[in-house]
Amino acid sequence: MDIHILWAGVVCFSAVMYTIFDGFDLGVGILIPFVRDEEERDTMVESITPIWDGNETWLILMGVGLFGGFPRAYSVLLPALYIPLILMLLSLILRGVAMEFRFMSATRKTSWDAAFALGSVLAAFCQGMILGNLMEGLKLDKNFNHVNSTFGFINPFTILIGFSLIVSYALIGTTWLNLKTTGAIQYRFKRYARRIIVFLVPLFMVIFWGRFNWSVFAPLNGAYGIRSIFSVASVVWCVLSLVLMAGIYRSINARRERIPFFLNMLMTVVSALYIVSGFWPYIIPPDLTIFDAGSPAYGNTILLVSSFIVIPVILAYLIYSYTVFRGKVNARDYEPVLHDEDIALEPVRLNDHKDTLIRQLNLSWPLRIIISVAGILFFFAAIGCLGDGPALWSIGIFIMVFSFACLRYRH
Amino acid sequence: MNNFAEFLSRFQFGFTACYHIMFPALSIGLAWFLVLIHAMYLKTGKADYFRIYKFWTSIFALNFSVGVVTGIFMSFQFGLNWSKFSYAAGPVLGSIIGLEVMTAFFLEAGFLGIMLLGWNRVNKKVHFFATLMVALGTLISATWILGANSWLHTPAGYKVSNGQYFIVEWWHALFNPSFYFRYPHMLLASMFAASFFVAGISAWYLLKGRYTGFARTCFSIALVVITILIPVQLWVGDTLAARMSVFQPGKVQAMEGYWDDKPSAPYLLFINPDQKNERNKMQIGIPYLGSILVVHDPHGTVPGLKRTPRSERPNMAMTFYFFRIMFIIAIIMFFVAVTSVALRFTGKLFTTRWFLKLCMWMTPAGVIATMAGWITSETGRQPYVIFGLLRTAEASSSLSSFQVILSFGLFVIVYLVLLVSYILFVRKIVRKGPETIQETSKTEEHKKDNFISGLPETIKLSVK
Repeated sequence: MDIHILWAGVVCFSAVMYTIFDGFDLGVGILIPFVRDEEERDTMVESITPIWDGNETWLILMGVGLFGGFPRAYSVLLPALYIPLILMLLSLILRGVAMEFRFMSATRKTSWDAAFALGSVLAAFCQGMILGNLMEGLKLDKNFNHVNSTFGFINPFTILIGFSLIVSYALIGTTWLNLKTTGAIQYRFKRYARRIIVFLVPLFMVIFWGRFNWSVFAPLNGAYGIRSIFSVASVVWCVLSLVLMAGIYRSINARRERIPFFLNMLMTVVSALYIVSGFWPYIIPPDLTIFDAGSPAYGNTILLVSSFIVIPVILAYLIYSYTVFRGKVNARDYEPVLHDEDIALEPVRLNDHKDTLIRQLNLSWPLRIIISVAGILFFFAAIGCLGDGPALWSIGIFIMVFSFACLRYRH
Repeated sequence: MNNFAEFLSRFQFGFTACYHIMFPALSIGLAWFLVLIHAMYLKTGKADYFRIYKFWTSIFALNFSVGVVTGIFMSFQFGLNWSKFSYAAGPVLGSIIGLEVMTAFFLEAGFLGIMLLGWNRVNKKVHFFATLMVALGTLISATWILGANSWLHTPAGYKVSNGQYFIVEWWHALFNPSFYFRYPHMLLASMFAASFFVAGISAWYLLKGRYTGFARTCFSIALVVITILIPVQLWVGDTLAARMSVFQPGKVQAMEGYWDDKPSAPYLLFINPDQKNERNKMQIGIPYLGSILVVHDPHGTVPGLKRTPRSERPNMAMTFYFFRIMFIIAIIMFFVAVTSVALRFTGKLFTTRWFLKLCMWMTPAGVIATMAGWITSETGRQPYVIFGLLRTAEASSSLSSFQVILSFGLFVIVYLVLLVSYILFVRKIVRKGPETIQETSKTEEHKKDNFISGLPETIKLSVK
């Protein structure tokens, strides 16, 4: 198979993984303003604290995949969408840090919550704008420079896509929280999920219909790839997404809480495949195909081969990490306490002046002098007066002497 | 591309990169420190090690999260502001950083949750493994990124086609000539960043007389690490400078602050360089030390910047002063190391107040030195972005000044707010101290007693 297609596959895979996994943790941020209670907010955020870091790594992989695999696309796309990308990255920074800081803050917790929510909403919106721009296409001149103006990325279509991405993330957020919470708050998310679906399905249908029929929605260059609403891909997507949405709507109240979440993941995959199939064979429609953008490079091959080896390993330990934190959120559980089997009933000596772990050495005076002189000598040696060899030797001898003398802890 | 946008892009890159490097530098060192503590805990089973682990983990968590999110931006900035560079170097850098993401970032991310929050969900050995994997991830990450950065300094193992660079020989590209010294230099720097951080905070506890048992252990370990590694670092740094004077003579000439070749040169501490007229308006130095340090001979000749053609000279003032900052901090570090040995052998390590105060003020020293070192290294390679191949001025995107002003302004605001909050939160954690932990534990005798008398199985000990 062609190397470009395989590599595009890797980039798409990480894009889909990102939308699924960071989707629900951005969704949690988007849902934060709808929950007033401090403890409930804590529970929501605690459901994602062990894993959000890994979720964002897919975004880096996608970016770097473009950088290494399709340098042309990377160098055209990023400056063309400079402002939405910068805003997206800044909001990701803000929300990631706010998530950690809110647990530390006693007095300004609400502000950090606001930052977390704002960052999540803005990041989702900007991602939607970027996607919308890609779907519309970016006009390039013959030197592959973009011709967009500074604010050319804003138009009704991209705004609508941005908005619908916020709502979709909120939906996957609710199905995730349905999986991770219990009681009143869980019931609430079940309700939210149903409301969001009722809102989201018409929204999707409007975009779907408008994309093929309204000039406002595909203003620049028309729809790429899939040109008809009656093409196989469109029909399949439409049917599948309706079925999946109905499935989520029905199963959200079911006892098996995993089902709506998995259906939602499936929905993301199906939609992503539909959008990607609309791109084929372009990476930035209408001028740049994946074959123009690729780097026919040796480095690329190595990276490709290793990605096919390494990504399964990554998935394996990410799955392990998710299984460690499976089940309902229990924040008390996060706080480390001593394991039972430790024989730790020793008196606690936090304020004890007699240190418990360090033994002071009492060396006789000749030894002290010898070691001090050695120390001063090796200062000169180390900064190179004697050249590399002697310097290394004296460093080595000093380390040996010092390690033997000092690294003796009383057990 | 207009010049102002390019000028700002440089500062934006410098600012965000400097900001970012503080956190990974601390993370690498702290991660290995935590591995050490965890290993000690596993070996001895002492609750004190657990307490130490728990305390530093909370700071590590904050630090790591800031490092991760600011790092996301770094991987996009190449394309955003330096698109011509990213087009040319993408196949090389993208491949190396791609491998970094796959082998290091995911490893860290996958096990970080278990390390920070999974203590009660996995057994101790698995938890140790998770800590080890996070630390290993930071190490692997540093390896790739230093490989990539060193490739920009001394490109090797590549070929050019169509204006793009491709890796032909991976081994040569990654383990390029300057990598061998820049990599250990950076690793050691991050060890110092973490050690001084730990030592400084412990010194504060010792000065206040709080949690002294805890503080003594941390202080002692940190100073052992510092003392063992400082001579290695001085040697590595010295050798690195010598090697770089072969690959990038301009950088080393600018670092020393001379325009003309100077025999028996003083070691300059203060200069007022005049880049246009190729002279120093003023200079102050220590006699002969310059020659001793640079060429290892009191009468040796220190090369001047005029040897480098005018169009290829880096900015002398920046290169010189940031190098001096790093060097002077290194000397103070060395003083701390030697003094700590003397104090340790006289049994006064934990009670000498002036030394504790010095260590306290040295808390950010390692981080500052690391940053200064990076600035020296990166300004010293100007005007090139890929040394000898691609000039920075030819590498930028076509952006309007407005875009860059907007992004740079936003970054400065957000990053400063985050930095201030980060420092305040670290201060808060430190003030609160290693927590008085609720311990749920039992000994063999207690088990037996409980069994016989039918008492509840666990005894809760609330320790104030």
